[in-house]
Amino acid sequence: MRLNVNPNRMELMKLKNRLAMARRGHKLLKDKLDALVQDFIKVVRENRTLRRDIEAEIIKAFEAQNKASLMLSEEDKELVTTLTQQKIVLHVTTRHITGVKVPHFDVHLEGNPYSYSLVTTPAELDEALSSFFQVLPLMIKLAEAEKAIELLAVEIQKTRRRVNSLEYVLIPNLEETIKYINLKLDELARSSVTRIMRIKR
Amino acid sequence: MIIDGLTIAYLGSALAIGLAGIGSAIGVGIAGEAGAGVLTEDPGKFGTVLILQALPGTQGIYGLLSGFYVMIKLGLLGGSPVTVSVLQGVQILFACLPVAIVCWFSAIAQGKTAAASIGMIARRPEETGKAIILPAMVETYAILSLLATILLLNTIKLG
Amino acid sequence: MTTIQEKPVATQNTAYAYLVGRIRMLERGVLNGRILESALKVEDVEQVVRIISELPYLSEALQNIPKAPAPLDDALMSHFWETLKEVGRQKLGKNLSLFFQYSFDFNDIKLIIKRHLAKKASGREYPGTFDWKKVSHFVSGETGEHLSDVYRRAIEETLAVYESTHHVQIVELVLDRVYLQEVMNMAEISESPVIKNWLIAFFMFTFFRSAFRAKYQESKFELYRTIYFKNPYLSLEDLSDIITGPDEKIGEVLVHSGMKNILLGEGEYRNDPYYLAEIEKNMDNYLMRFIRPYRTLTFGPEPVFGFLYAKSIDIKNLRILLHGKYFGIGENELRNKLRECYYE
Repeated sequence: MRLNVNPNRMELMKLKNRLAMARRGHKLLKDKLDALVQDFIKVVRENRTLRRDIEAEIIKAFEAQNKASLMLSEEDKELVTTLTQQKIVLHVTTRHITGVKVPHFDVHLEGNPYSYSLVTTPAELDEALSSFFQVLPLMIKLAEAEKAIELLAVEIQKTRRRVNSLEYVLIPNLEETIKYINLKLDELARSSVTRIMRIKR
Repeated sequence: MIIDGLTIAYLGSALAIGLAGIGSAIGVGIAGEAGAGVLTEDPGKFGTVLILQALPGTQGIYGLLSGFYVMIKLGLLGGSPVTVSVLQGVQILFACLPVAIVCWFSAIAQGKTAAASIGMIARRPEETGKAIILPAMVETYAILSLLATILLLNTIKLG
Repeated sequence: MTTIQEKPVATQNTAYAYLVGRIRMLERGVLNGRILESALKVEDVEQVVRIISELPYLSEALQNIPKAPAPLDDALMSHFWETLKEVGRQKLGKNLSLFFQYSFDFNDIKLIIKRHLAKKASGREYPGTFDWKKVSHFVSGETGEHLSDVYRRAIEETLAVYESTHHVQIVELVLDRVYLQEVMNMAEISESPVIKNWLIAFFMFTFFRSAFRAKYQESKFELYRTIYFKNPYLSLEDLSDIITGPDEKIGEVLVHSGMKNILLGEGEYRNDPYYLAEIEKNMDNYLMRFIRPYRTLTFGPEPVFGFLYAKSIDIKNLRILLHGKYFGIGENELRNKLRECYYE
């Protein structure tokens, strides 16, 4: 689509500058997009292996929990869960991946996780608890990776939209307008030449 | 002499009735307790439990029988009392001892067996026949003692 | 070395005839190996319930209960509790059911104290010999409430110790100690040498178990010793050897107390929860084999006590079966976990 401008040399100069700028921006954004996609693929790959590991761990933990609950009455279950003294400390910082801010979690478990009776609970409960405490930091790590993927995806989408709008809208429009102004100017030049020729005659 | 033959014969009769009665009472009591336990859970078993509980009661009857036999022999139940020498009195006393002692102990033993059998019919109602035979075996010795007492009493000839 | 390895002589007390007679009827509701085996074969919880409903008493307990693990478990627990109460109502049965009732009571007290410390509003109540409201009031400071001396002292001590250490596990350790003290007292006054030795075996097993668990949990020994009290059967040194010593040392301690083959079989000790679970099963099975020969007796407290223990193991087995089927755990794994039955 042609831009709505006056076809004169002044505008032509302006438009040419804008076109050069748009081309440069387009190139830069395209580079950024490539870098983002590369990072994205890397993070997704990491996430996939992490996820597989965690899923295996979680399945193990739930199996251990099921086995423990074979031996626990309803009252025992309430006893085990009513009062615990382990604290989970979560530190949140941010880091940058290709200019994108993503959160980073540091998790610490403090205190003794075993706060139930040594006598009335089954040994399987220890296994269930310790496997869940192994899974928890991994799950937080997974959450971090998933969030990074989400943020990267949003950024990629945004950048791609910009690249596309430059590539398919702004640059063609500018080119068309410049072509139009050139034509107009040429026509003006030609009509003035004919006018001068007429006057000379 | 203060103790005459008749008194000693009374003692024999009393022992036969008394000891056998005590034994039966204990035996029936034990079986009854076990029976009550079973009936608390299942009153429908009253018939079989009653039979088993009654089994140790027979010893008391044997004792009573022997005691009466002595009384009849002494002519205390109708007829004229016979004279009994001290020696004959002691003989009657000893003749009464088998039924007195055997029935005393066998009734208790039978009571315990009956209690065990009541436990058995509680768990296995289909085995009632066997459960009744087991305590009934103890009865044999009570009957034998009764037989011995009667035979012994028969050998004593009172004037 | 303790006396529990010897075969004690039963009392043959005819005063128990009534109770034993009743137990004979109730025993028809005890699980046996055949029923367990067929329950293992089926697919889901509903079919398991159908199979165990063959048994009298159990079928009544499970009538009209939703076929999910939690309500079934509650129904079984209250069934066991009712049985205990029935036996405990008799003069002679009182001391026999007390042992089992204590485990309920102490769990209840623990829960009440924990709820109090966690500042939770009181939730549902579980079976116990006392009035929950009274105990809750007592725990929250109204010392005027009437409570039996054992519980009163136990609660006061627990709260005091928690106040000074602020360690949650100590609540459990102190109450477990009081419970074990009661078990030992029961063993001391038991008229039957069989039950006495059984209780001592239970008592020693419990201490060993707690020590194995403390070793796995890497508890501090200072914390663990809260559960210990001086007794003639196990010394604190033996337990500290188990907790702080190397794995090989455990074999020695067990040989010394005559328990090696009972607990470990032929194997060596491994510090692994699933291995500990295996040991726990061995303990239950040993206690069952210990009391089982006395089930044929007609007189004396032994068959009554044996029945109650059988019932408690039944509850365990049923829980394993019902939850196991619910979670879809394999047949062989479940069979591995099941305890031995009173009747084969």
